Amino acid sequence: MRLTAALGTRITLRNLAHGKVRTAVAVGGVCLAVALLFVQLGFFESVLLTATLVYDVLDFDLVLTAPDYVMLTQPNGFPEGRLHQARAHQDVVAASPLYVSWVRWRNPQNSFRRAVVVLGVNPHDGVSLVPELQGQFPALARADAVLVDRLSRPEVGVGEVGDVAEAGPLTLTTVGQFTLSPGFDAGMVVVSDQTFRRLFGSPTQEVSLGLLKLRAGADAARVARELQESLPPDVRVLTRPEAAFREREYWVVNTSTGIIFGCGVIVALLFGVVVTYQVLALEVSGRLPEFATLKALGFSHRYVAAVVLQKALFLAVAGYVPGFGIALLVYHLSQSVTNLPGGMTLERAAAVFVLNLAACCLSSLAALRILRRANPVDLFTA
Amino acid sequence: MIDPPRTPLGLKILTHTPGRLAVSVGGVTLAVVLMLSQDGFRNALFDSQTELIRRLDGDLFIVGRLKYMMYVPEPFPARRVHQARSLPGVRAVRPLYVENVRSVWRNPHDGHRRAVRVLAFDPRDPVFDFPELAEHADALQAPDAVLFDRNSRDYFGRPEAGSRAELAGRRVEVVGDFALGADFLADGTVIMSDRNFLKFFPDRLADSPRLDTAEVGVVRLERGADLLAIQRRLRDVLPDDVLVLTRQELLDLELDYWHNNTAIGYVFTLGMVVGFVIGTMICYQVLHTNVSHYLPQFATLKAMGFTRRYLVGVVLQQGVFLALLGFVPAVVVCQVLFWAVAWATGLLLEMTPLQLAFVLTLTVAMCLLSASLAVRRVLTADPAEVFR
Repeated sequence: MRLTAALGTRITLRNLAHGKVRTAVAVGGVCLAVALLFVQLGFFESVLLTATLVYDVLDFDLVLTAPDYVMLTQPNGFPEGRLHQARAHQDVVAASPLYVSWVRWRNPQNSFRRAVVVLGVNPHDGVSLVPELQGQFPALARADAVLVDRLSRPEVGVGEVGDVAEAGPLTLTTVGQFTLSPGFDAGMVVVSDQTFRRLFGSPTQEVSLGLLKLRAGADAARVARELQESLPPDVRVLTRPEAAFREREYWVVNTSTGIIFGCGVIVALLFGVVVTYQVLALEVSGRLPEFATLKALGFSHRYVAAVVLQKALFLAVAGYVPGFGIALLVYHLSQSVTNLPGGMTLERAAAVFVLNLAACCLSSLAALRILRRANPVDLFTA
Repeated sequence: MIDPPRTPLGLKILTHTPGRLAVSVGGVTLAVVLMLSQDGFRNALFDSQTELIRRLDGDLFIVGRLKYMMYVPEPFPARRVHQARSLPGVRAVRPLYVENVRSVWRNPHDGHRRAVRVLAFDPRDPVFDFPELAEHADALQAPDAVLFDRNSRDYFGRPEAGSRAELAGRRVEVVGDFALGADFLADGTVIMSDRNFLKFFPDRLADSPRLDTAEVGVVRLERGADLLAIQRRLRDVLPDDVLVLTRQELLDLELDYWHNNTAIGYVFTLGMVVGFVIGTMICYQVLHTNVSHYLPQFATLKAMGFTRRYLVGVVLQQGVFLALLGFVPAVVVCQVLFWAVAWATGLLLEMTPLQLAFVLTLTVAMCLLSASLAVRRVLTADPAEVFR
């Protein structure tokens, strides 16, 4: 048994080495399919990461939103009073407002004006999970102070601490910087709730989001249900996972960006399956006479299948490695240009590996079906 | 010498084994789908973002000095419009007003609020070339009357003529529709008269409602006027808080922003490049495999005394046929994909003849190149070797 297995491996290697060009072409095909899938999945993942970028750095257990909340940068707002009502719940230990809008921004040191996302926070509330932001909140309490995301696009003019910038009707002074990522937008800045009100004129009694912290050990889902029942229908209560899921769902299903990147992944998957099948099927069918000989010599179909599978395994791995390398290169290039969140993850590397392996093995076995039915004589004359 | 047969031997070889042909055509099709779809997605971004500019009905356009794209407002003093009017050769200058922050649309069916882009101008002298504008000019003059873009995203509730809704906290009546389309920033668009605009979105800084600022000044010239000369004059006459641009310059400004200053423009361009590289490589692979498979047959022909030229001709013919056979189904597949995405997003997604011609040329070129690389093996092959 061990002898035949060893013989099988040798056959596989000889097989591969025999048609060097053919093997190289097959490895190239698998490599391209892998690289394309990685690149498209990477783009798609940057959409998912962008969706919850801000949520991920906020410190909350439950969030209050308007019932027609669209997405973080289109929150639509709800009455501020709901926040005070929520605070009355026994399990809620803190309730902080978050304000979100857009402002036209210009750093006078360059000649660009850009629309940036502006977050308004109460500097005395601990809404941020990022120590870097949290530490700078006291400085934000000063009138017309602003914190700027370092990863904002260069046209925004991140500048230095002490720089002034025109934002809507105000002139704001940069008191600090933080590192997040503006996602697909030009930039992001943080101001105090007071400054936010002055930026947008009317002292509306509306807040964009309400961030609730619960008592340690409280059941978030239960508290969310209770709050939803006790509060009027002009506000919606979501747990942290619910809020993140809704945000991602909105991006993927409703934004042009998400839909097109989703299509890119589907095209890449389709492409991968067809290319892999084609490469592997050709690889097997080109050797059918040899395999038929093996069968005629008395080797079992299982044995031949094992040889074919071994070959598929080799091609899958040999194609995956350079494909992975190309993907890393493209990721690196993209990140240095766009500052989008992303990069290679272990999950994605594993998922693509498994998909690739499965596609290679199934394709080879599918191609081998011909052999099961075939009459050796026919194969030699073909 | 044997007479060269009149039959297209390349095609005969291909159709001899339909199974193998199907696999090869499938490979080419897939490569073309990849190229066309990535190119299409990228163009959807640029075409959709510039559609508004292409629909402006004018020769020159006055915009704020820092204007960098159509969606983000960069208003300039409306006085500039009046100043420009006085120039000889200028027939009309009409202001366009835009609002997309305060303009929240409430869908009457579910009460949900969404920001909508509002375009406003004098309906008697429209600044856009939408054919529906002439028909609805009178209706638009009525208080609270709007036209709704029927290609907007569907969460606005697909308002039709006669339906009522709420815009910026005031009631509006939809009196008709027009076709523009959504883009990556605007989900929907509404047209209203300048009078209504003043009522809906008064200047917050002014004591009494008036339209002190405009978004675009759409200049139309007298027949036969010299466009560039008037552009120069306007630049001299107007203060430097505004730019005076031709349509092409306005388009270039918008495209430059999306090309060079956005993550999404970069990602789509990269996607297109990756699509083309991989697409062409797959074409090569398919052709190479296909041609080298028929090596014994070619060797036979060679042994029978056919010339090298003849053999090369047959292989190249094979390449061209494969390219063409793979291209047609790819166009069909892509068209279906584009319809689906356009339907879901309201984006402009189409295959222009230029795009098709480019991808077809590339496909044929790749197939020819790979065929000629493969043919070298045919020419150098020793018949005895091949049959071994």
